[in-house]
Amino acid sequence: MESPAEKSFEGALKRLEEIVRALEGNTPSLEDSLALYEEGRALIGFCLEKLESAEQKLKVLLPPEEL
Amino acid sequence: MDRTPLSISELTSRIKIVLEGGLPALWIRGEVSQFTSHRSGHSYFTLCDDQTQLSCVLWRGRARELNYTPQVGDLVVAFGRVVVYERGGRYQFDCYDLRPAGLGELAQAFEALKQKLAAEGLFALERKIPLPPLPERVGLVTSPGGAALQDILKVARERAPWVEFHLAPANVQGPGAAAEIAAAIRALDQSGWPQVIIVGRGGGSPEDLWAFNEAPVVRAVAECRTPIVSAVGHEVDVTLSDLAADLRAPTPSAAAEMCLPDRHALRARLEEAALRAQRAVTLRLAEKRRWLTDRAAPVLAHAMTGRWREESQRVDEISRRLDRGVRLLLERRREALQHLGARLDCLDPRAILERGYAIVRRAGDPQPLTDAARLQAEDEIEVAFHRGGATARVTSTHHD
Repeated sequence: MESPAEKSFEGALKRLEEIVRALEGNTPSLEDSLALYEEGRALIGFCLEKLESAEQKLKVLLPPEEL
Repeated sequence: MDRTPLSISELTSRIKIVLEGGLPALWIRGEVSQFTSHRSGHSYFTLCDDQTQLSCVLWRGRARELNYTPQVGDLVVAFGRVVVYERGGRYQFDCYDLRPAGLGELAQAFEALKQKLAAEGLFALERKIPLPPLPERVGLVTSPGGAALQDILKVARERAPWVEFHLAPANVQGPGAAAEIAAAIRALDQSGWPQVIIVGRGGGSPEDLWAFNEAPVVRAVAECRTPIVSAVGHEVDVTLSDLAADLRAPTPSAAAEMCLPDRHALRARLEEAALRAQRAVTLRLAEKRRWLTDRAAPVLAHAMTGRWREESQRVDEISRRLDRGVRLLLERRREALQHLGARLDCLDPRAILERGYAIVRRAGDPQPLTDAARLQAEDEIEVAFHRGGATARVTSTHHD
C-alpha cells in the first residue's frame, strides 16, 4: 500500500471504493476481508485527516518575466 | 512683427477664426466624466481619457433627438465641431450626435476578433480537455490585489482546504495586461505543477475586461495543455478567453466551485464507504460464526453422549504424541550431531598419534616417511609424537 504521503486523495478514494466492493463481494476468507477492512480504515483515516486540514497553502510565483 | 497689443476680444476672435476654420466636424471618443442637463434643455458634459478632458455641449434641439443619456463612466463616441466660447474664453465641443461607444465600437471589434480567432480553430470543441475530478494543485492567473483571488480562496477554504494554489500574478486590465496574462498562463502550464488552472478577474466594464479578448490571451488559453477554466467578470460577461477555455465559469468564485471537490460531499461519501465496509465485515464474521456453530453442534452432541471425553482424550493423545514426536526429533538430531562430531575427530591425523603412532620425517623434509628403504645409516631424522618430538640418527635399516 503506498505510503499515505504520496497517495493522492483521488487514489485513496478509488482504492477505498474497490475495497468496499470486494468486501461486499465474495471475499475468499475471513483473514482477507479483515486485512482489506484494515486497509480501508487506514484510507478513511487518511482522507478524513485531509478533509479536516484547515491550513490553506498559496504560493505567489514570481511575475512571469522573472520566471 | 506688429508690436501694438491686441485686446482680449480681438485675440479671442482670432483664435475662433483659426480654430473653427482649421478643424472640420469630426467624431471623437472619450469617457463621460460629468454630465448635467439644464432646465433650459441644454446638456453640458465632460469627456476625458487618461490624459486630458474636453467640455462639450449638447443643445436642446439635438438633445431631444437622441434617445441616449450617458452615465458617468460611459465610453461614448460623439460627432460635432470644436467651437470657441468667446465669453468664457475657452473652446468646447459642440455636439451633434452622441452614442455609447462601448457597445457599438467594442462590440464590432469583439466580433471581428472572434471571427479571426475562430478561424484559427482556437474555439474548437475537440480541443477541450476534461477537468480532473479531485485536483489538489491549482494554478491561478489573476491580479494579486484583485477581488477575484480573494473570492476563489474563500470558496476553496470552505470546500477544499487541502488544495494548494500557485498564483502567477498578472495585471488584468490596462496596457500590457494581455501580454502578462498570456505569459502567466504559459509559465504555469509549462511548469507542469498545476492539475488545473483558473484564469480570470472580477467584474468591470467591457473595456476593463478587454484584455481577455485579446489574441495573446486567447491563444495562451487555447494552447494550454493543462485543463483551464476562464472566469472573467460577472455572469453576463462573455469574453473570447471563455470561449477558448476548457470550461467557462460565470464568475471566479463559480470557477472555484466548479473545479474544487466539496469537502462535505466527500465526507458523506467516506462515511458511506465506512458504513458499507463495516456492514460487509460484520456480515462475514456472522457467517463465520454461523459456520462454526453448525460444525460445533455435532461436537456438542458428542459431549452429551459422553463422546466428548473420547474426543478430548483423542486430543490429549495427539498432543502427547506430538510432544514425544518433538522430543524424539530433537534427540535424533542431537545424536546425529554427536555421530558426525566423532567421525570428524577420528579423521584428524593428530588423533592417531594418541594411540602410540609417530610420524617420521627426514630432517628438513616435511614429507612423512613410510618406507625404510629410503633411509640409510647415519641419516638424520625427526620424529613427531602425540606430544612433542625428537631428532635422531639412523644406525641401520632393514626391510621385512
